[in-house]
Amino acid sequence: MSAIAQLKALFSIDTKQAEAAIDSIGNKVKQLGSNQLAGLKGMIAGAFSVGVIASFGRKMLQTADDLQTAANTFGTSMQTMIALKSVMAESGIGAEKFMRVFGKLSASVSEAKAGVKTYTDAFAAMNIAQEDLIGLDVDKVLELMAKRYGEANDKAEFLAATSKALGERIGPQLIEVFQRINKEGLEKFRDEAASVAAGMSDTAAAADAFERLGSKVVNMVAAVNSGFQHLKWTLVDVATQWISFGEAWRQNAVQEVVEVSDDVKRRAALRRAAQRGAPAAPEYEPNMTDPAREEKMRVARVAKEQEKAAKEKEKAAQEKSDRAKELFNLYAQQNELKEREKELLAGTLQPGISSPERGRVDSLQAVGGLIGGAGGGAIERRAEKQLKVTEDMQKELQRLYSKMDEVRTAIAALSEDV
Amino acid sequence: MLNERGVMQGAFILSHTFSPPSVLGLRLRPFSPWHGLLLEAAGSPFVCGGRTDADDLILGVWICTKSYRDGFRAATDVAAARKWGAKIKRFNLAAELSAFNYYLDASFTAPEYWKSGDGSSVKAPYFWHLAYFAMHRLHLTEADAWDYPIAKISCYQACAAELGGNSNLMSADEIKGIETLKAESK
Repeated sequence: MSAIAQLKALFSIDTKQAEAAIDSIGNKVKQLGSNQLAGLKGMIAGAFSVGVIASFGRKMLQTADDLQTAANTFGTSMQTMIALKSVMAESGIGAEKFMRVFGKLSASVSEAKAGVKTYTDAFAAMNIAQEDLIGLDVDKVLELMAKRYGEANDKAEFLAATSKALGERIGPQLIEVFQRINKEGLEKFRDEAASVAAGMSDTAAAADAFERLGSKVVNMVAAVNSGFQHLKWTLVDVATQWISFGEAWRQNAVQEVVEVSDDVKRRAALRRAAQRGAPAAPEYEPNMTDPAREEKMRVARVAKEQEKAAKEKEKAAQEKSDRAKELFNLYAQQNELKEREKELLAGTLQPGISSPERGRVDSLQAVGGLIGGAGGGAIERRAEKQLKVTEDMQKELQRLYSKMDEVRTAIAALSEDV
Repeated sequence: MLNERGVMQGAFILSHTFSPPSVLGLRLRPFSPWHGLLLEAAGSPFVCGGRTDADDLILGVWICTKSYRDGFRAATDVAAARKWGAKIKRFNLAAELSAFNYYLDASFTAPEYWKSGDGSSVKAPYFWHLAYFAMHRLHLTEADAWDYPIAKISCYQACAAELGGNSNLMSADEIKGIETLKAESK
């Protein structure tokens, strides 16, 4: 049975095999002298470790998926995302904050490119002109910010501007990011991330598949890529042979993790050493000749004009659509008014809340009242009331016609535009 | 109650005040004869002596979260152990081990006696004796006896022994005096 098949079997069936083994232990202990439940240690520790590893695998898939999604959202590569994540992580900015900062930076750059004053001002305070941003991806903007930070005379003012652009204060940590980028260059981090990126992309694809299939996470972890061969085998060993947690972890996955961790530490130590006496960081911005810069600015202007024209066109279309809706509503209102006019004229609708005298009594009661002479002065009162009703109806009609005039005028005015 | 020999031994109050900690994300139960029996049968170095590793800690914690009422099957529920592992995000083995050792030290704190030399060794397992005492002298049900904290059973045993004529129980002052002598002799 292949390793993956073994895993699938383990995670799809219940734990009958293990239970049978435990029953066997429980029943045979009387034959033994000591350590009668010795097998229990391996079983519980083994099951525990399967859980830990499965959880680790799930987290790994989630991280990969998040990075791929972020890369797609910001229009950059997985490699760049990993490189930036490394820079941020080494500066004490966690994954969640990194995503938030990067998202805000991306939004701010878009706004600045579109000429929104708040953001153009914020970037201007960082000595980054609006046209400088045209054509730059977010990661390049971050590099440019780092470069400008290095050049800035008033660092506090620069950081205040970054807070405006990013919408939050992450001053000291961001300084470290800028310094790191200036000293080592983001390209170095990109190079380091290259080998990881391919594997992470595969893992992200596996995460998508996992989401779609709703399958067992371990199956996907086991199937992802060669970078996690050790983890795969650890899973198999622990899951199928009930070998001890410490044993499997030491033999395979943990060793791998420890090695990676040590490597990161070594790299960080080298960087710190380099920072202390490193030569000046290479310039990020390529040497640009004046004609090239002029051409760049011309392209930026054209792009801006086109963008502005498109926005105006969109705004005009929206306004026209709004007017059409309003006209439709006015026609509907006019129809309602006409209906009410008909009802009033037909006398079928009594105005206000007053109800006819006879409305409150049935026909027999009414006759009784008349015969019994109960209507002393009732006839006069009724005539008086009918007169009042007629007056009210007239007033109502006047209000109605006035409203109809208003609606008609509004329709006429709007019809000219639409 | 205080007497002319000074304050009571710490074990008598600790058996009531000690609250078991959480280890590896699970809240431990007060250490009972049931826990001791299973750990001894599994050859756990926490009870039998020897070097401990991560697996010993996992088994020890797992067993000490179960009760006699849960039954042997609960202590061997591998599916539940797997779910437990899946909830663990990250742990510091040394810190967790230290917490578990502290729990065991507190749980096994019992009144101290002067060695009389006339004691006789017992052949039935120690934890069976504790459970038997809890049933026979404390009149607990079988399940309650196996789940009863051994720290309390030990204190009740001391009371029973004293009432039965055993005068070897140490006072707190005597324990302190021994420690002072030990320190001076170093």
